[in-house]
Amino acid sequence: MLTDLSATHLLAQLEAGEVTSVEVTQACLDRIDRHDGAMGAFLRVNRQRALDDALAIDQKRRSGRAVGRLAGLPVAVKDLLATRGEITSCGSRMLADFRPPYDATVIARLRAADAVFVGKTNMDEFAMGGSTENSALGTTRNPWDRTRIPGGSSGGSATCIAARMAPLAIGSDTGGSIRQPAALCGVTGFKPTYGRVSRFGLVAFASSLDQIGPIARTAEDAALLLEVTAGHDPLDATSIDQPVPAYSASVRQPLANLRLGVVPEHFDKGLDPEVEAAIREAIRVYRSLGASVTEVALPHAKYGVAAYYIIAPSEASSNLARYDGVHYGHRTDERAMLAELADERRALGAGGDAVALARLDNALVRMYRRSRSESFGPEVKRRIMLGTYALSAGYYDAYYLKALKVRRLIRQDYDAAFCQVDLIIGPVTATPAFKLGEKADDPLAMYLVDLYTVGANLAGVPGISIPCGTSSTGLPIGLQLQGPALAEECLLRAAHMFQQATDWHQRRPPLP
Amino acid sequence: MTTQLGQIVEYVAQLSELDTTDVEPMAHAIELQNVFRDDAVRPSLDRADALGVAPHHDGQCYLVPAVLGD
Amino acid sequence: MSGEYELIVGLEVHVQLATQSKLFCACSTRFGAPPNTQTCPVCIGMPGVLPVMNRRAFELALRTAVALDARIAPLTKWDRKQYYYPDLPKGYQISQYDLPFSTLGHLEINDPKGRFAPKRVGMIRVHLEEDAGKSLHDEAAGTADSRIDLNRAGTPLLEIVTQPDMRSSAEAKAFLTELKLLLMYLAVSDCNLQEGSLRVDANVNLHIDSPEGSIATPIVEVKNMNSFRAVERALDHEATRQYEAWRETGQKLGDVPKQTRGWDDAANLTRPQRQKEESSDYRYFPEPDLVPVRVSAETVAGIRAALGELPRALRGRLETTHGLSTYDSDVLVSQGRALVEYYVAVAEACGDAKLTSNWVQQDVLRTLNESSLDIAAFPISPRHLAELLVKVRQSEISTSRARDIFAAMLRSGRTADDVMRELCIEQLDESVLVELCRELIAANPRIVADVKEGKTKAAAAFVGQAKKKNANVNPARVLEICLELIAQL
Repeated sequence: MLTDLSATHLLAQLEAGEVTSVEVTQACLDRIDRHDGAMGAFLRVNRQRALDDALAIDQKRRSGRAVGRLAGLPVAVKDLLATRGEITSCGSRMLADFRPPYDATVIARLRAADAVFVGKTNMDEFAMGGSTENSALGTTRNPWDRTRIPGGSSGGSATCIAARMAPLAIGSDTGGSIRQPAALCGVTGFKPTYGRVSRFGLVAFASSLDQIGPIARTAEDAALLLEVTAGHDPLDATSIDQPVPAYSASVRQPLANLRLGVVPEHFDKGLDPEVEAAIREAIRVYRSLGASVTEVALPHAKYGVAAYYIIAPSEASSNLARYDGVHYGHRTDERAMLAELADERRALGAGGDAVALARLDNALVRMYRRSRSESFGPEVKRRIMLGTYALSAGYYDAYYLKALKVRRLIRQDYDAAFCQVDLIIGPVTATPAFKLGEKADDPLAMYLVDLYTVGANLAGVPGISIPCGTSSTGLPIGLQLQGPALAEECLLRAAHMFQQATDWHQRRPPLP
Repeated sequence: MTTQLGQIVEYVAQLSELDTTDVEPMAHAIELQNVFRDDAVRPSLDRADALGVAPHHDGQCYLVPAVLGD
Repeated sequence: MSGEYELIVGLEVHVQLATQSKLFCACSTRFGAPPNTQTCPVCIGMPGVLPVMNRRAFELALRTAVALDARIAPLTKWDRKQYYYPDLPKGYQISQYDLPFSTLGHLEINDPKGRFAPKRVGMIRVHLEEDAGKSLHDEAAGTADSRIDLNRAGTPLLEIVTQPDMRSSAEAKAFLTELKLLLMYLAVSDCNLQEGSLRVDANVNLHIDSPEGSIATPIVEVKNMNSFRAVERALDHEATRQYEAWRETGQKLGDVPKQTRGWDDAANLTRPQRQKEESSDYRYFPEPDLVPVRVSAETVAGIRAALGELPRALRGRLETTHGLSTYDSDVLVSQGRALVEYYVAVAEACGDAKLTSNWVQQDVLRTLNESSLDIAAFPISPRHLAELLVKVRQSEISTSRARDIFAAMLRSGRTADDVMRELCIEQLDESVLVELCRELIAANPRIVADVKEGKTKAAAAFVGQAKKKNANVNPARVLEICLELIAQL
């Protein structure tokens, strides 16, 4: 089946003329039609547009004109990236109807590469969450067990890949939002070095932590997508100005004498025994491929979640201040709001409560309050409050500033570790996918899911998640490799090595 | 919500266990400096496109409930 | 109660920098465009956009700070200042908080009229930030809505904060005048108050003499002063108002929070403004989307070397090298570098600084003002004007005749000699003058008799008559010759 083939394989067939983009795209759309009702990966599918674009690319190819690097390949995009003229909702009621008048840089690069956009995928609202349950616009289910979460916040993109509804997907990762859903859905997800991929047009959650990255079924495919999207962007002052290596070529070269580091603290009692067994087996595989394994310390790793859950909400509280219903996005029903305000004013006036009357919101403030209150879900509100608190006068030093210092310590831990080893190997999550609703009332428990992934975001270093086993209940288990800054090639090659020696990445969820 | 927030704040406060004297705060994940762009003008958005996404406008300006006593 | 007080004034000046594009995006900064036609996703603050710093804005900012003798920070960064307002689309302003690119610095002020002694006004800091949009209230339309125009949002602003060093409204006005002059010499801003490219807020309080010593009253922030004259009047008003308020309430600095008042120019008074937000906790934190800027000592030295002669130095040079009075040098320098250069060229060519200064201040400036011209477009070149002035200096022509020639030179663009030839203005031969004088003396025995009796002034009548006979006579020479001839009689 066309949808079983990797992107790399499909591309070869497209280039050889053995298959058309229309055929590939149609196959994906059929699969979406058949399965996405049960899965909920997509918020919007661009059926007609995708087929039109596919046809145009086929014609371009046939006529011998030059085509882009991804020509004809269907790509699904997390609904957090701006797509000109098409809804970019960020999984939120605030932007449920928002059509940006511009493209994210990554989208522009994908268009220039002649990719075919099949649709926008579901996500936790404003990327805040680890299960995609915080989406205001739909539920996404894990293809391996539809009573369970797919992970988050890029749950839709990971589900799309796992269920083979498209060969390539784009996600974003702030505290693990690519790697964790990739692990829980049994696919490959890559978070690049901070600054490797432009953030222009990525709706900001935590500006110093966010990165866009590929989700795909193989390291080879991830390498291809990364190569097309990475690179300096003059519109992003935090983007790295260094050439992009040919990841798609180098990915197939195995690494000799790979030095892997294992962090003992990762294997404490919180780690599910089946996950631990899968990771240890993966380490054994690497040894058999010639890698050496040593213990390294990341002494401050256990403070990562705390530091993250101060820094990320702080930046988020600021990034989300713009959603005030003034220039775009949801605005409350003004007439109703004004009428209500007038009633309140009257009541307070009649009651003689001068103090309350003086303190009563003016219309503008009430508009802000209502518009935001109506549009943000509880997790978003929670993080905005946390962030506002951490940045406020009197608390800034103890919380935000302190967290930035701990961040430096975490970075220094990685720097020291990478003097001894090339890559760090370990778990992505402590357990496989949990049940939908299981952690809904315990946000702190939800935050702790990010234990193994936040470190890379705090330090700005790259990390990849690849399938390395399944639980006794048939749920995927993911393996994480982390590297120093700009070690994308090494990570992709190491991942590919593993995928040559194992077949976990080829397993499929039990769908018809 | 309040209980949950309280728990979270308590959790994150564990950072105070760490001695961070003389540690430089890390506000950026990248060691870049002096990134600029040239002072060149490029076409702005068409007003219709800019206002087109606004909840309330009069064709020229965004409209909001009046703020008096500015 | 002694009741003597001192007015303490600090100023916060916002200057729009003269860049083509905005601080963080490529939209034009041109003034006067229709609302919301100079915006883009970045300055509208749409989801996902990012700021990138305008290099020229930073250079102009540096240039200003160096000219103010400020200390330039080797490493500077930007911060988010967070508050809600419809003209602030991101919900925060990108500004500078704890590491502004410049601190300290000063500007010297003088009063040619001598109302205050020369002094140095210190700066606290200068930093670079983005401007907000505009909120328009159309009360005539009768709607309950405000209209928001984001054209101005994202324009680069320099914020200059002075020490509370000024002690009178005159000093404040002088400071602003001198600052504006400096900024224009540096070409960093249009400094057009009407267009809002220069805005001023004042922080004002009193130090009151009392038996217990000096008492400081609460600080009041005064806004909405749209001209330097308004600043002067507002400060005068505040001095009196605050003194009365203190006598009534006895409130001292620290007793109440800082009050904000707006100047009402028509009513000639300040009114309290509602507090914008209960707390002014702006929750500053480092802007994650912008990286820090390192400024080397070499860069600063290069900027300093390229500043050119600034107003203070220029005035000094005119006073010492050209011997001009403080008043004259002040007038010339305040017209701008181009005019000073014109003056210098003429003065050096004709050799008479004071004469040149008079002519430039009166005749040249008047012409420029009347025809709304720039000195660059002035029709008479420095060399040609100098030629004319040499003739005046050497008494070859009278001042009034020179003015006629000047007017003709303006119209025709010709040299003084050419114009004189055209108008038959000749340097009359000495013998012709003597001949004329003999005629006049012969025809006016009464005047001769008066002069011989000692009424020398009577000879002035000869000048008028001589002019009637021949407009080109040199009046001074006529007088001299007549007196000589009469003496010989």
